[in-house]
This record gives sequence, structure tokens and C-alpha cells, in this order.
Amino acid sequence: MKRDIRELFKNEEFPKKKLPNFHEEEFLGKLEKLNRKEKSKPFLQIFKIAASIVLMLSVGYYFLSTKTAVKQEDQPTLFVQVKQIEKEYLKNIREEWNDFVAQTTDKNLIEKYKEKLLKLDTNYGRVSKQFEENPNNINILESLIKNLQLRLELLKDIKEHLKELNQKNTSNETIYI
Amino acid sequence: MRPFIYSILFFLSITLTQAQREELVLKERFKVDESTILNLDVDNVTILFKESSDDTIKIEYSILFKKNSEEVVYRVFKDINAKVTKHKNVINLEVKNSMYVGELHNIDIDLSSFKELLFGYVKSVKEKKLAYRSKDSILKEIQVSLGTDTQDYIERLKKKNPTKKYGEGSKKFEQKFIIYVPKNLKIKLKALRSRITFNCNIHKPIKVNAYNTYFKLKKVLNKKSEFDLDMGIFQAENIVGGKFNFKDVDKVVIGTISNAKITTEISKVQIGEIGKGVKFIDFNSKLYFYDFDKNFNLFELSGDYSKLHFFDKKNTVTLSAFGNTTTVNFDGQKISFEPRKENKKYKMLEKKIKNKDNYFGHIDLNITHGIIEIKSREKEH
Repeated sequence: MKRDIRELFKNEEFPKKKLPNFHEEEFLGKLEKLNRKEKSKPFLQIFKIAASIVLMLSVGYYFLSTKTAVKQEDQPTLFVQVKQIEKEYLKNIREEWNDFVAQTTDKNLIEKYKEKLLKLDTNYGRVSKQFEENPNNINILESLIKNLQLRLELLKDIKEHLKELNQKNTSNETIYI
Repeated sequence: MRPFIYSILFFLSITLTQAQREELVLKERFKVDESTILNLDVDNVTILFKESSDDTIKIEYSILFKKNSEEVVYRVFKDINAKVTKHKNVINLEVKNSMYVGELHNIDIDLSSFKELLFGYVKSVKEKKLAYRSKDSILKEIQVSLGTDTQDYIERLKKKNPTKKYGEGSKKFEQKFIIYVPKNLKIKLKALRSRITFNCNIHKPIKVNAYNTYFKLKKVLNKKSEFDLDMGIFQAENIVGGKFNFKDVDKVVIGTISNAKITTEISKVQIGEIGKGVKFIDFNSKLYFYDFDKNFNLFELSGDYSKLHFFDKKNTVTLSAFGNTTTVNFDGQKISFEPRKENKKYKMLEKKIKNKDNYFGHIDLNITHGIIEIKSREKEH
């Protein structure tokens, strides 16, 4: 998104600090004091810079190497695990769907569920792409699992509903309780 | 001290780059009157509405970066697209963010803790199923809810065990979007994969059209209000009037409701207390009606493949069910009503009360392929 950074300074909340009147004199005085100080030995100066560079490089290397190690170790394992879970869920969903279709003759009901499952499948595809881009994002992972769980639950629930409609104890007369 | 200066500076720079940083996206202010309309069209945002103390709308949108990584800042700002314009007396706020910026799924724990907690969550859901809940417990749940049941379960665990470490999630930034609205402002909202929270009551008509969006509301007090939701979550403390359409919404939780028309399809709805003038039309939803107000008078519901749960612990409501192919489960005693010739509907069930002085109202059901659960001895969860 394009932003004009100057807009930030127009903000009323941005602190407007005024420099004191004696600021210039104070600054020049400090500068003079610094110049009067004895210059340190060039050898020591170089040694200090070199030591700092070595420290920076070693810390930098440590950070990068640990991050890379985590990524290399976690990414494929997690991705494979998710694919495995997905495969298992989709297999169960297919089985539940076949059972459901065999259990009812109501075309309207089948159509409604077909529509619903298709919608969830489209959603899954969209989130799946996000997961490929961000494989360590737990929120995207939760979204994927929730989607699969929801599909399976829906089919199990409607099957249970249809089963419950067929009780042994039946009547076609009004019952008063 | 001087030999360490470079090292100190280096570590200071690391600390500073790791610190939180807030970046402004949008900041606007508009003076409004009674006829002003706020028209929002938003994708992948988290908005908190608060009541304005004067007659102005204040829009404040910024991003709080938890870890200051330039790569993340660049990615977020590349994926944010927000603008606000005013045309005549309509303020148009358009936010078209990508899914990367969205915060619908917002669990802030690490992967191993998440896996561990998932089993406990599934168990808790099974235990909660079919249990009675009071209006107060429903209201309390709405007030503290973060959205999904999983998020609420994790939050409850964190509060129970404050010393336990759950690790950090992959959350790198947070949207801070607050809109201050005057009490009498009319709002039109179109939302996609967003989180919308109202910290104030809605007095004027509101028109909402949303897909996979999480709503958390206080009071909705206008009879001309209209909500049309496809997927997502809807939680409201109190509804007085309006039309509500929920399709595939797997979590609808309402504290109290009156004078409203609700249409549902393959959704799960829980209502703490039903008041006067509530009408329901449903297809294949799970509906939990925990209590009825003592003056509710009449509650009408027509449904196909609906699963209804009523709790009449004090024996205060009468009920009649008209239809066919429906199973009734009264305190564990089940009976199925078969279809008559040509699938004609008939009066399947009539429930009376013992003490007429204790009468709250009548439930009128018109139902086919339904399951009616009536519990008179249910303990509170």
C-alpha cells in the first residue's frame, strides 16, 4: 500500500519537541572536550572493531542457522502429517456420503447437502493454498482441520437424524402428555 | 566500558528490532447527523465498534507488529487496501485486505500445545452436548467469547492454569481497528471473513450481509434491523426486533430475543430466553431453546429435518406439534409419528401443564422429518 510518510508527522499525537536556546553552545562545548581527549592507539581501535565484527557474525550465524534448522526439520513433517490427516478425513467423508445417500430418498435433502459440501470443499481449496504459502501457520492449520471435521460431522449428524426418525415405537394418532 | 560499546550497540539494535511497532493505516473523522449512513464493505478485517461521545464518526485503523520484521511489515502493507470517502451524506469505508491479513483463526499457542489441547476440547464438546444452560451462563459466555469454541476452550484453560506455558503461535501482527459511532447512526455492512464486535448497543436499523464472518454484539434494538449471514459465527446478548437469516452458521448464541423473525438452514442455534413475538423457520438445524420469558405468550416454529431441544423444568409451557414423520423424545421416552395417507399433516403431540397459574405461553410447532427433545429433569451444565 502506498503511503506518504509525511502524513505521519501531521498527526497531532506526534511529539513536537522544542530544542533549548543554549543547545548550540552546549553541543560545541561537548565537541571541543572530545577533541582534547587523547586519541587511542590505532592497534587497539582495529582490534575492537574486529572483535565486534566477529561477535556480530557469530550471533548472526547462530540466529540464521537455528531458524533454518527449525524450518527444514518442521516443514516437511508437518506438511506430510496434514496431507495424511486430509487423506484419512476425505476417505471417511466419502464413505459417510455414500451411506447417507443410501439411507434417504429425499432428493431435496441430498441436494442441500451436496451444495453444502461443495461450498466447504471450495473453501478448503482456498485455505489449502494459504497453507502452502505459510506452512507453519497454526491458524490456517486449524481452519483446514475444522473444515474437514465439519464435513464429517454434518454427514454423521444427518445420518443419525435419519436413523432416529425410524424408532420401533410408532404412532399416527395424537399423543397427549 | 569502551571496548563493549560496539557489542552493546549491536545488542540494542537487536532488541529494538524485536520490539513491538504500530503502523497507522487510516485515521479519519466525520461529523454526522441523523440521516447519515455508514456504508462498510470489508474483507479480512477485525473491527471494534464503540460509541462516540459526540456527533462524529472516528475511524482509527493501525497494525501492531509483534516482532518487528521488515519482511512482515512489507507483506502486510502490500496486502492491505483501505480507503474512506464521503458522498453526500453517506460515508463509504472500503477495506479489501487479503486472507494473509485476516484474523479469523487467531490461536496464539504453539503447535505441540495445540495438538495436546485438541483432544481435551473434543472431550469437552461431547460432555456439553444436550445439557441445559441458564440465560446468565449464556450471557457470560458471549461476553468472554473470542469466537470459535476451540478459541474459547483454550482461553479458559489459560485462565485456569496461568503459570503453564503454551508457547507462542505464529501471530506476527494484530489489527487495531476501532470505529467510534454515534448512537443514532444507520449502518450498512457487507463483510467477508472478518471479525465484527460491537461494544455498544445498536439503536438504529442495521443491515448486514456477511460471509464467514464472526459477529459479537450487545443489544440489537431496532425492528427494522436485518442480518443475512452465510457461515461464520453470530453472538448477541439481546435482540429486540429484526429479521435474521442464518445459513450454515455453526454457532449462533443469543442471550434473549423478542419480536424477531429467524430463518435458519443447517445451523446450530442456542437461545437463553425467548420472549414475545418470535417466529422461526428452519431447515435441518440444531436448535436449543433453554428458557421462555414468563410473558412470551406464543412461539411459532415451522421446520423440516429440524432437531429441537426444549427444557421445561418448571412445567410452564404448553406445546402442540402438527406435521408428520417426526420423533419425540420426552425425558428419554421415544415415539415416532409415521406419515398418514398422502403425507397429510396431523396433530402429533399436545403437551399440557399441571398448574395453570404457572403458565408462560404456548409453543406451536409445524414440523416434518423432525426430532423434538423435551427435557423436564435436565441438570444445568
